[in-house]
Amino acid sequence: MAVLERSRRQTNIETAGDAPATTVRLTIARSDAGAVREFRVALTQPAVVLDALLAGQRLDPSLGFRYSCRVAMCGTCAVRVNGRPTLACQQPITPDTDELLLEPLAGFAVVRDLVVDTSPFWNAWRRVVPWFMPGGPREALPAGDASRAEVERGLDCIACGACWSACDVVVTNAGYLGPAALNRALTLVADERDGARAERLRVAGQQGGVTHCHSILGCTAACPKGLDPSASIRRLRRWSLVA
Amino acid sequence: MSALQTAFAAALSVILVLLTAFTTFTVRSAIVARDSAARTGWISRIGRASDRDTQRWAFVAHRTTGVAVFAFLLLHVLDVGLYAISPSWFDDVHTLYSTAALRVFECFLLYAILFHTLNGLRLIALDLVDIRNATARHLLSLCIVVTLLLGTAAAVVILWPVAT
Repeated sequence: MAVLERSRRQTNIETAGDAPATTVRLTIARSDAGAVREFRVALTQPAVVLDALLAGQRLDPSLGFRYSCRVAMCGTCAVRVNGRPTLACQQPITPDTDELLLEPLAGFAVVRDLVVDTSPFWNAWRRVVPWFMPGGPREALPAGDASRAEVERGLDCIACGACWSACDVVVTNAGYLGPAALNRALTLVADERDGARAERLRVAGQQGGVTHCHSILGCTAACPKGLDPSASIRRLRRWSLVA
Repeated sequence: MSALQTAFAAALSVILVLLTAFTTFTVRSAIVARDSAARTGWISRIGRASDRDTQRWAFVAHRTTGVAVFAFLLLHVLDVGLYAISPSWFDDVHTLYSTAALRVFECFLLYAILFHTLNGLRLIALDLVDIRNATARHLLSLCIVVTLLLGTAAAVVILWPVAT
């Protein structure tokens, strides 16, 4: 397998003075069987996986991957690093790292290299009616309010798909809503100002909903924002049973 | 071996073959699910970093042990039910349970029952008490340790007559 190499100066656009550098061997899952899979890149510390990908792309411009915000807000750059789903822009490459295996998220069809078709994720997201629908009290929830704490628990989701990739159930059960959509449903159901609570609970409680979760907790372990989608699903399960 | 004993052994063998096939299918599914884009065979991917998630394998083990216990239960209902037809038939089949091979099988069955029970209780606790991921992992470790301790202690008792 060919290994592409470049000097530290060429691969690092932000190399400054005597900043410490790390040389990493990347093995990247490529969709084209003939494409180069292995790269050796030099990175200035501190470095993240996205830096390595960009360095790799300078060596082979045909390398496909997505990114946008670079600050873990957009969720676009989710990939699997050494088998674990994470955000490329957030995953640090420590100075003692020698090798990295980069693969597309699991549970999605690969479009090209590390780019996946996230349609199933968004179809599930749509099914829980993911937008706020006014219907309850119109006043803002005060800080410290228990209901507000419940809402805020899952509010930081950036819909990156890491939890989907870590969930074994979505792969074997095409109708399953998945952790992110159910977490979103809980966030809205917990909001007493929301007017579509009954509809959301109905969707969450029916076929493909909360009862399909097997509490493997892969979603919670993978969430790059530190959320606990598994706990959201369990909470939603209790509420949908009561409803 | 009598005809009844042969029939029992054959049924048990069929169950073990089916259980092996089910286990292989479940393990393969668990690996392929995480690695749909990989070009290598699923067996060569066992042991990768993504596979070192104990709770994933607890799910696979829970399924496998559940099917194993249920399948044996079906057979056990039949062999115990023989007493209603003829106590001598019952005695004839149950003589097999004291053989070395069946005692070893009973040990594995006990490990399966213990793990399935303890992990099941862990999952119920997870649902009811809403424990955190780290606690759930620790509880799983506890389940495994208790399974091994109790299972091994019982295995000594079960195997003692054939070992001495």
